[in-house]
Amino acid sequence: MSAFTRGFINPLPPTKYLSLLYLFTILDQMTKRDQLGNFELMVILVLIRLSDNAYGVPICEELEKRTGRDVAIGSVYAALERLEDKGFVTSELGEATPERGGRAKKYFHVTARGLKEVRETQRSLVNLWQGLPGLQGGKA
Amino acid sequence: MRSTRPPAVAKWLLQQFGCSPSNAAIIGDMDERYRQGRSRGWYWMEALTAIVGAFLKEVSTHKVAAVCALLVGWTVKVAWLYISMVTYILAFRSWLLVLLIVSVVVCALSA
Repeated sequence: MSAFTRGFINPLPPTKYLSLLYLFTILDQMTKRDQLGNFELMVILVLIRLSDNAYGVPICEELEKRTGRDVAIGSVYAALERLEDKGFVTSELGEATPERGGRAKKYFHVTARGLKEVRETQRSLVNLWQGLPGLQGGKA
Repeated sequence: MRSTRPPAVAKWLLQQFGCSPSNAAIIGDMDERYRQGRSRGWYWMEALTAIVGAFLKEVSTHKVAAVCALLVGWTVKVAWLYISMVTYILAFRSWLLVLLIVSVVVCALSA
């Protein structure tokens, strides 16, 4: 009997669904942290660099150029939405162009709170970096 | 020569199932990058990533609703199974026939 058939005949007991609720709660708490995650920090630094022209396409291009890795537009927007929820970023709709199929651009701007958080993260990282002989001279 | 129009099915899927608040902006950005020279495969991957990512975020945002949906689905599945069995028994009044039908369903599901 296959796993699918077993699941069909003997469905999960309701207690398993409570375990799922617990898992979702942990995931939710992880995403609601006020600290900046690695990818979020990269995105917010790109926003500062792009200044007034920070919408999806330039953000992805800049991230790919600076990190040398491909990034998915969906992942960038997920990070931007998290940053917006934390109050580090604001957004506004811009103009629509024909090459976008008539859809408006969404521009993002870093808030004062976001800038403060970036500075604090930078200070923490620099303090952690100092005095590590294995990481001197750019060697990882 | 590559078409300048993005894959219609991938775009339709993203329009229907993409639940991010920035869905329109995501589609606009994908169209813009596609017209800059990205491949059809790239467009499909981006569309699927956006749908799955937004779905997971939505589930984690509405945990109680997600668990309720699973519970309702589980209840409906069990109820459907037992109602079908009772219907067959009442309709045919033959345990042998019921056994045969159940065997066929189980075999079909295991295949």
